[in-house]
Amino acid sequence: MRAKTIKTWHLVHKWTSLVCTLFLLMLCITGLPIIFYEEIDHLTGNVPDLPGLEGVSASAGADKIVAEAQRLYPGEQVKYVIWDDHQPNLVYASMQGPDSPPDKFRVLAFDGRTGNLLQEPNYNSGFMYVMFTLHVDMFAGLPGALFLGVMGLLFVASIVSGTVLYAPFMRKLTFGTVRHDKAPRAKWLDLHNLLGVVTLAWVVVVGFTGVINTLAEPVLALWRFDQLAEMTAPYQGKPPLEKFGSIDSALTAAQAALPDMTPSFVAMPGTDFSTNHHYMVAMHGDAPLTSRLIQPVLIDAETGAVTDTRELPWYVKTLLVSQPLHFGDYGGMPLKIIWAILDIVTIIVLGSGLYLWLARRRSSIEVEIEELERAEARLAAE
Amino acid sequence: MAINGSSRRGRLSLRQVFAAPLAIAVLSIVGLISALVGDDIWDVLSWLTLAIPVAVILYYWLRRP
Repeated sequence: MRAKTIKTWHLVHKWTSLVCTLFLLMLCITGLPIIFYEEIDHLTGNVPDLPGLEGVSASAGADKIVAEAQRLYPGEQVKYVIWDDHQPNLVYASMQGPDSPPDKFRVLAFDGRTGNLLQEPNYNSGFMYVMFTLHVDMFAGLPGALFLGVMGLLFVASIVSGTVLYAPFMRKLTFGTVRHDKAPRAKWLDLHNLLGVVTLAWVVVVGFTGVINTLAEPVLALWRFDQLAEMTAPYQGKPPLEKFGSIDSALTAAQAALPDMTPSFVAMPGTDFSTNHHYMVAMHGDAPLTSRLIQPVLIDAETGAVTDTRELPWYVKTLLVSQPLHFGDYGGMPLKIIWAILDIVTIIVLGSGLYLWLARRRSSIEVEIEELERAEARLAAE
Repeated sequence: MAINGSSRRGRLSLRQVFAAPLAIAVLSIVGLISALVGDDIWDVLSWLTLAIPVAVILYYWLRRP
C-alpha cells in the first residue's frame, strides 16, 4: 500500500472514529445492562412469577383478560394483548389513555389460565428505562434514533478503515503481538489492533443491525402505507366500530388460517398495526428465527372473519431478523455472556483508540507513515 | 533491534497478515447464524465459535514473552 493511500485511510479512520466514539461508548455502556434486561427484570421483581396451578391447563381467554383490564382502568383502552415468549401462560395487556404519549404504555401482566391480574410491571421509569431510552434514542424520539443510526454508520466506516490500516501496521509483527516492553502507546496500539481485528465480524454485525434497528419506526410506517393499506383498502372510509367482536374468535380464525403458528400478540382496532375495523393477530413460529418473523392476520373486528394475511415484506423481515442479531438474546445465557464480554472488548477498543489519539506524539502518524514509506522504498530498492 | 514477535523474514504478505483475522471472522459469522437457525447443538456451536475471539484476546494479552 502506498504511503499516500495509508494517509488517506488514516484520515478516514481518525475522523469517523472521533465523531462517533463518545456516542458509541454511551451505546456500549447502556447496552451492557440491556443484554440482561430479562434477567434484571426477574431479579428486581418486574416480571411476575406464575403461581403453580396443579392440573390447570385451560386458558381463560383473551376476552376475559381485556375485560378485566378495562374494568381496572376504564379511562384507558387496551391496545395490545401480548403472549410472553418464554411462558405461554403469561399474558400482557398494554393500555393507553386518550392523552398518553404514543410510546408510553401501562402494562398489566395476567395469568393466562385464570385471567387474574398478577402484577403491573413498570416499563416507564427506573434504571432500565433510562438505559434503554438512552440506547434507543437518547430521549429525543425519532430524530434521536436516526442520529444514533448515523453514528452507527460512521462506526462501521471506522471499522472498515481500521481494518484496512491493520495491514500496514502488522506487516512486521506476527498476529497477536503485544509489545508489553515498549512505551504504553505501542502496547495500546497493539491491543487496539488485536482486540479490534478479532472482534471484527461480531462488531460489524452488531453495529450494522443496530443501524437497521434505528429505522424501526420508518420501516413500520412504510409497511402501514404499503401493505396494511392495501390489505384493508375495502374498509377505508367506514366509520369506526362502536363495539368489537370477540378476540378469542379472532384468535381461533387466525389459528385456522395458519395452523403451524401460534399468536405472538394481538393489535386491537385503532393501533399502528391494525385499522379501526380490524384486529391484527401476529402469528409466529417457535424456532429462534421463525419466532421473530411474525405473520400478520387481519380479522374483521365485527364478524371475526379473516380478511387477509400476507407474509411481511423484505424490509420488515430484515428489521425483525436484525433484532436478535443486535440484542444477542437468541442463544441462551452463554451467548448473552459472550455478548457482554465482546461489548466490553469494544469499549476497550474505543477507549484505546481515544487514548491513542489523545496521547499522540507530535504528528506521530506522520512519523509512522514516514517510517512505512522508508520501508517501502527500501523494499523497492532491494 | 529485535522486536518481540516480529517475523524473521521482515515483511509479511497480506495473506499472512489477514489469515488469522479472516479465520476468526468466518467462525464468528458461523456462530452468529447458527444460534439463529436452531437450538441445542446450534446454540452450543455459536457459544464455541464466538468464544474464540475472547480466548484469542486473553491468550495474547496475558502472554508474556
